[in-house]
Amino acid sequence: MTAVSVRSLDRRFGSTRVLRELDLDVQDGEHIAISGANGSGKTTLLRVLSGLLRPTSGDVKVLGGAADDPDIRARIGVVGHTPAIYARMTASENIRFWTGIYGVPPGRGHEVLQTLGLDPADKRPAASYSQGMRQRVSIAIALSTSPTLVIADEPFAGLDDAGSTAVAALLRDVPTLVVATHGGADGRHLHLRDGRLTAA
Amino acid sequence: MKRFGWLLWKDAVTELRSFERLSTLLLFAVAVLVTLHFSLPPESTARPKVAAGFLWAALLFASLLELRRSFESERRDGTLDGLRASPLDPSLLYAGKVASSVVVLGVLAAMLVPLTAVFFSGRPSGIAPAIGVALLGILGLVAWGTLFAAVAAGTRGAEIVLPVLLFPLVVPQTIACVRLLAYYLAGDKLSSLGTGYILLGAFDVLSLGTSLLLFDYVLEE
Repeated sequence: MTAVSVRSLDRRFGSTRVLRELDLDVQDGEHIAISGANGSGKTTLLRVLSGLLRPTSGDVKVLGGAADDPDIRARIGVVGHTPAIYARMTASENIRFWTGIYGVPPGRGHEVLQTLGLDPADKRPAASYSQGMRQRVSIAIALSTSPTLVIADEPFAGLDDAGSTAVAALLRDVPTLVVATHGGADGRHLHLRDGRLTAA
Repeated sequence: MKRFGWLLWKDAVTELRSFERLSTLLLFAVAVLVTLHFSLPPESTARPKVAAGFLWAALLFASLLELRRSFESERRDGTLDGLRASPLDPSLLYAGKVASSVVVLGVLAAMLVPLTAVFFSGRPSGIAPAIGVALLGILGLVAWGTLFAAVAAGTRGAEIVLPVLLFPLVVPQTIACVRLLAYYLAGDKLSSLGTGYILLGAFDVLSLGTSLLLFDYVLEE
C-alpha cells in the first residue's frame, strides 16, 4: 500500500508559489529523506503531509485518506520545526499530556526519553532545557504513540553526536518515515528544488 | 471527554506552577479599578452609579489580555501545531480554551466584585449575585473572544485585531451585564430583571454555538 500519495501538489502563499505540481509516492515501510536549500519548501511540504496546511491545489493522501482525518492523525507521529512542548511542564508531564491526547499509555514515551538520555523522573520544567533536550522530548512525544508514519522536520537540529545517533537509531525502527534533513538520515533521498522533488 | 480532561489538566498544571495568568490579570484589573476610583473626587456621590461600568471595564480589559495569551503562547511554542496535528477534535480544543479562560476570569471576577463593592458601592448584599452576573457575562465574552483570539494570533497587529473584532459583538451583552451589575451593586432600578438574564443567557448560547461551528475553519491554514 502507498503510505503517502501526492499528485500535482501546489501550495502558494499569496503570490509566492512554494510547491509546484509536486508528486511524491512513499510506500509502506519506506524511508524518505528530503533535502533542499533553506526556504526551498521542505517545511511547507511536511506541513501539508501532516494536515497542518491545506494544498492550494492537488491531491494528497496519507495512509489511504485525508491528512486531517482524526483516525489517520492518530497513526501519524509529527516532529515539527519547533518542538511542541509546554515549557512549564516537565518532560514526563509533556509525554503524559500528549499520549493522553492520542489516547495511548505513556510508557513507550518514557522509554524513548530514557533511550535519548533524558530522565522521566526529572522535575525540571522544559523551559530550563537546552534546545537539544527539547528536541529529544519532541521526538519522544512523536514516537510515544508507536505511529505507523512519522513525519519529521529537521529531527537532528540542535542534537549533539550522541543524540543524533540515538535519534537515527530510533527513526530506523519507524515503519514509514518522511524526514526533512540536511543529512543523517537513511533511506531514499530526494531533493526539493524550485518547488519540485527530484532524486538526489 | 478524556481529551477535554487532559486539556484542562495541562492548563491547571502550568497555571498552578506560577499563577502567572491570574496574578497578571489581577494586578492589571486592580490597577484599572484603583485608577478609576481616584478619578472621582472623595466626596463624590456618583461612586455607586459608576461601580458596575468600572467593574465591567476592568473585567473586559483583563479578558482581552487573557484571550490574547491563550493562543499566542501556543502558537509561539509550537504546541498549537501539535494540537492541530493530533486526533483532537477542534471543538474540544475550543471548549478547553473557553473553560480554562472562564475559570481564570471567574476567579478574577470573584475577587474584583467585592473590591468594587468596597471601593464604589458599599453594598455587600449584592456581591454574590453580582459575581453570578459577571460569570454569565464572562462566558459570552470568552466564547466569542476565544474564536477571535485564534483568528488574531496568526496576524500582524493582533493587539488591534482582537478588540476590533470582539467589541462590536459584545455590545448587547455588555449593556445587559452592566445593567444587572448596577442593580445588584448600586440598587439601580431595573424594569425587568428576567429580561436581563434572558438576554445574557441567549447571548451566551448564541456565541458558544456559533463559535464552536466556526472554530475549525479559523484554525485552517
